[in-house]
Amino acid sequence: MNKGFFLLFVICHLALSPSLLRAQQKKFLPFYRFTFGEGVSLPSKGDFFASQDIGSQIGSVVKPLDRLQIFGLYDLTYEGPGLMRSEGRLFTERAMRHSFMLEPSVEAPFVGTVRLKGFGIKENRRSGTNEIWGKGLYDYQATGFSFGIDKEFFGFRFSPAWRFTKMIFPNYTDLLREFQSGGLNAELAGGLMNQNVQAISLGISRKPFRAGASLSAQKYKKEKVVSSGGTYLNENQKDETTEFTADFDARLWRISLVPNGAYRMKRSNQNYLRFAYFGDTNPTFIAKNYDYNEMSLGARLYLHVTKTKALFGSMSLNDRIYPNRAPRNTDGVYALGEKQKTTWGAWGGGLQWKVSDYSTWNLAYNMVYSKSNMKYERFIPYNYTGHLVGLYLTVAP
Amino acid sequence: MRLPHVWRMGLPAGLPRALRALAMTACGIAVFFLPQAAQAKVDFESKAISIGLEIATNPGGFLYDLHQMGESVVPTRTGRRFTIGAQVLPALLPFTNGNVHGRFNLISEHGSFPQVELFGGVSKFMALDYVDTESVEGAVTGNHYGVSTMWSAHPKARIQLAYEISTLAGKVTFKKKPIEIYGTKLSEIKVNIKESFVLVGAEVLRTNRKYLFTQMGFGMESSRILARIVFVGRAFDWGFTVYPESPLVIYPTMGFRFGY
Repeated sequence: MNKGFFLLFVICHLALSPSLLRAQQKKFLPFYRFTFGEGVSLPSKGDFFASQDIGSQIGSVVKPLDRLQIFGLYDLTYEGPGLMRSEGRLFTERAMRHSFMLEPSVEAPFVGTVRLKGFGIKENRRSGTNEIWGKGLYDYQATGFSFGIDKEFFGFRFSPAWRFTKMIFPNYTDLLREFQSGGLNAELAGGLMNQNVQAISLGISRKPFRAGASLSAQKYKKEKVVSSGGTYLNENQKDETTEFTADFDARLWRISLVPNGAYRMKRSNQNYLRFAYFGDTNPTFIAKNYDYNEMSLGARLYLHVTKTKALFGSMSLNDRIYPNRAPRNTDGVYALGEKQKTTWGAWGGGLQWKVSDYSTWNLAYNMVYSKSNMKYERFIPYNYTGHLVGLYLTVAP
Repeated sequence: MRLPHVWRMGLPAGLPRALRALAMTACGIAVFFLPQAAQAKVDFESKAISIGLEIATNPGGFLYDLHQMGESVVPTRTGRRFTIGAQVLPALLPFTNGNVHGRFNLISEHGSFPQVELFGGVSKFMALDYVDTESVEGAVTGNHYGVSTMWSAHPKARIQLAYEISTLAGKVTFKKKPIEIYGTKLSEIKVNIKESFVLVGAEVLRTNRKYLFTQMGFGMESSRILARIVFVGRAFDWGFTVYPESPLVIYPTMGFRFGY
């Protein structure tokens, strides 16, 4: 992210806040959240490695008027190597993300709380320390804004929202173009992944229950749909993702249970053409290759031993099926007629210890697993188990 | 809280409650999960070689990590004007990185205006002053300076936003025989790194005059990331520093400081 922009955002927001408030009597509150995880991962494939996740959020809430509140936030997140990834990711992959957000909200009579939000995100990825930050295929910059309302009806809180995001992938290209143009123009074909995303969502909550639904449409600006003949059609790629989520927080005596569930459907008009070797004249064509249906279930069960210490057990289960994509054998050959299916998640538990009013430690063990009928694992692991022991800290004054 | 009798069976009665809870957790894990143990591989030798080669490839980066260990981290307490301190582990010991740092409280927090302080320090790898100059010659020195602001979020918590410039420069020549790390020969080490950092952190009160300080830093030139967790005592601080992208990721730390 541009250095000047970063400094301008943080300094202006923090420096302006007190001056705005001098006449308004201290309605300024700094905000901070620090999350830290350090662990040792022991996968069934490859050697053991250290995994880290570190994040800091700093910002401020300003209330210049009784009905107006402005929330500014800078978020720096580092996701280090780790086992607990979504399907199709490397253990060694790491990401660094800078996010800026400015959200004014107004209490409007009869309407509820109206939220306007502007945001900017820059994420860089690399698959190991041997690569340079900023050169990743899936590095992106996103800017956008959203509009939402919070309103209570009959004890339920309704939160409809609309969001627009412009995403730029400066380094992305695709192999077919690289192959067809002999690699010469591949570097120039950057920006193929650039897209505009529009999303509508509705959240409904009534303590302790929460539920949500969202629909997002990704319209690619340049990427065309590939045909079975190996040419690009005059049709841009378009993806749609529908998601339903629900969770609740129940407590009985010293036991609390926090389960959650989600169901996602992705539909894309993009196809896939696989060249088994350089010069393959009969590539395999998979129509609607990127469509999938995914279900996620998770839960944490706490036993509060004392006011500051708790034992917990946790589980997560994710199941993804590609309705049109066939799995591949160890040689990469498609088993046509079957559907690719992957199940992954983690089982574990540990000790939670609140060491002060604002900081909580977790010592946790997780057994991580991933099982798939996708057996071609030359680049990405699909079938593995692993152990993860880690120490996790959260500080949130 | 006294644990139900059935849970205490088989556990030494003298164990503190927290340890008992931990032991029970470990037993549960062992019973349910370890039988499903993965065909995991623990190869310390190859890991050591890999770390050694990473250091040999970029020795300056490794020295810079050590230099940053000697930086001033903990903010001046409310009501104090200055602080002077030094980092002992793992700076002076065992890497002979002598260091001293200080902070001067320019403006105390008042109203909505934050505490503003200047900080800085110097460091030097002292071993190079004592070795035989016919074999090894050179000097590696560093400095850092910056400005830090502290904002009260609650009576027991202050939030930090700081900016720092940290430099390490020098050259070491191995005159007689190059050092060899798993086949990689180093006849000299040159380091010239200057990086500006944005630091965000928080100080939360644990008990009387004892704090927990957490901090994350981002290097704006090379995207270097660091995280610090410090248990701040009256004079001594201990904790750990993490460089997630470096060959050695985590370092336990210990330092001391006094102020007025």
